[in-house]
Amino acid sequence: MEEVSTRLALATGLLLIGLAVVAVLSRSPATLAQTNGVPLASTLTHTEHTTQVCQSGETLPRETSALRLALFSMLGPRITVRAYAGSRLVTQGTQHDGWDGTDIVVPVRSVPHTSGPVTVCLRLDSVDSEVSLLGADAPGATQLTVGGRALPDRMRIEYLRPGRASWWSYAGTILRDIGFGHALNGDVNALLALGLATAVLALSSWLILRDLR
Amino acid sequence: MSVAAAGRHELEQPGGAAPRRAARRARGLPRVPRSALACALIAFLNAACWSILSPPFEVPDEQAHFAYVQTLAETGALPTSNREAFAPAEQIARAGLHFTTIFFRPADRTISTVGEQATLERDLALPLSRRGSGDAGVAADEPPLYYALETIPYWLAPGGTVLDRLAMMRLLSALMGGIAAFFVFLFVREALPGGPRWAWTVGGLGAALAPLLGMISGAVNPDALCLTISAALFYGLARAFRRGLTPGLGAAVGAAIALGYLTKLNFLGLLPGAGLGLAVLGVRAARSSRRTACLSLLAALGTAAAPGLAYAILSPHAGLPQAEEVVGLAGQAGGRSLVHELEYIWQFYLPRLPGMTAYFPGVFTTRVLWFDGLVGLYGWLDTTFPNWVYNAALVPAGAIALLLACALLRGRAALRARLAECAVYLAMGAGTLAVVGVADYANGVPGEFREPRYLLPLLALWGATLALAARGAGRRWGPVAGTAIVLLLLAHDIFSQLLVVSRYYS
Repeated sequence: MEEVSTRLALATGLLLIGLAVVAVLSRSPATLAQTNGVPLASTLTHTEHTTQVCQSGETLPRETSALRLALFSMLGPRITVRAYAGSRLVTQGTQHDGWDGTDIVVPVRSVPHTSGPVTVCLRLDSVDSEVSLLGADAPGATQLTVGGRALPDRMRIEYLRPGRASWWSYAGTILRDIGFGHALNGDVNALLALGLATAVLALSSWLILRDLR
Repeated sequence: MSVAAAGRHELEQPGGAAPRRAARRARGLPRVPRSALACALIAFLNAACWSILSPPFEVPDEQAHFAYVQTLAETGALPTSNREAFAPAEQIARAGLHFTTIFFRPADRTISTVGEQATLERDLALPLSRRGSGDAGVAADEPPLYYALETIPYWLAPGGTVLDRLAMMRLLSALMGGIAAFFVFLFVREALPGGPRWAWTVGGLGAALAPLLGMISGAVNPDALCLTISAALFYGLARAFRRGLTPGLGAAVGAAIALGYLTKLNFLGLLPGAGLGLAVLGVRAARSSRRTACLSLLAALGTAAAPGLAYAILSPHAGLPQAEEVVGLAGQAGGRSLVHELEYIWQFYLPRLPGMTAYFPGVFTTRVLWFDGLVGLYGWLDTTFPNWVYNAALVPAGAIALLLACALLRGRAALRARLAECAVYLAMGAGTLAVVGVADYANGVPGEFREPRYLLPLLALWGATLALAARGAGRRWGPVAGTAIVLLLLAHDIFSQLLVVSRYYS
């Protein structure tokens, strides 16, 4: 009886994992819809306190579902993004704290139509570790304000939207690219990785069947 | 015949395993469980898979660890500086891989065109010097054992380019990961001797499939050896607690300690707990034979201290000064008080208590720094799942915690009888956490040392936790719960690998 239960649990579990993999790979990865054209030229300013950053003169492309922000921190704070067209809230979203590095993606409610000009405001809450804003000088251009203080700079913002194709359609490219930049070149890398992953799956299943009864 | 029945048949063959067992017993060697070997193989294969999927140098500090090995292999000397002016051969490989534009930038992927690959190959073939100026970045201060071992695959690598050598070195790390899973299985077997045996497999497999183990053991990083030696130390102590301390076992524990601190300074965190363990074991052994107890402790302490002393004498870069550097980091941290330091370390892991100065205001560090980190933080800590995954992970984590609580409640009598042993493991765990906390406090940038890989020396405890949780479901449902736990880890591993693939190759 216990052996049957284990077999059933294993079969069910593997089926669920398989379905989950298929479901994930059937989704579309986010793709770049547009940037605000600001290069990543320099660090504009730092903050170590809860603050609000606003940048006007932005355009939100249709179907924007996330913003990629040029911020850097070793222990990033919670970020709340709000985009306003005048005083009207166009979209908003949050990224929880604890992020690390640059290119922070904040998912937002999908925007049905292109909106612009909009002001994108970020609220950085409970800042524990220094947060840097990255972008470029833009003297005389539309202003960036940090904690109410205007800066002659612009922060780089990228707008993402769901891609048109699923992960499956990228499979060939991804398998090819795993072959770049490694000791072994070409498809052999991806095939080797797939083989190893399959071996791990098979051996684990065998060991479960052998011991867990 | 079913697979399970075949396995059973194999185990019970009168003419097969039994004589071999008898012969081993006659030679005084313990039986090596086949399940432990299977766990080791699974962990090795998994780490080997990670070693292919992680682009070169896209695991924390791998470029520095590689430089350390290269310096040691090419010059026979230890690194002399923590700057990053590495050998031209490594520099050009990093440039060809666009290293500086990828790390910490999850939007930027690794090279992806035939042209970039051709440039990389052309650069790798240039007859550039493999000798730098002795720089090894953040790795420069680490002890040399892991790096010395890595010089073997460094020289054995066919082709001889930086990427060839790195791939071979990663495989040695993967082998270490396999050995770690092997010791975790043995530890769980010794620590949980009563009850169903399948729980040992849950513990061993749970460790073998941990994606964090795969990522680190699939890279050039001394953590791979440190976690292996730590698992061996846990096993040695558990065996001594179960079977009594002998001079041989004492020497083995001492050897693990010596190898540990010759590998990575973080290992020092386990020493207070291990010392407590040896003291308890010594007292117990003295009850039956004072002579055996003394010999065992002498064997342990002698073995543990000898290489360290030799290392300190022979190498100007090694030994006690570095130990002091880690342990005494607090003293350099702006002269703040010990109370503040303790408060900081507490809050680095746990919610702030009333009256404490707030070091991480608004951040639930247990969740944000550690739970989320263990769920998924790959690459240069720049590769994460979408937010909802971390929230969803609370459900299985809560279920495992509940099952663990059930097991502990059910086994409270046994727990009481083994309180001293449990205290030793807890002290080893607390010591490990404290060393990382002290380093973060001294560093001055809150949270910079919040990398979950620093908890890998406690992999054996993770295995035991999973085994106990499976047991918590009871005899009838335990195997099913164990299967579910292992499959959960397997799924975690698969999706972590897919995450890394999507981050670097799409």
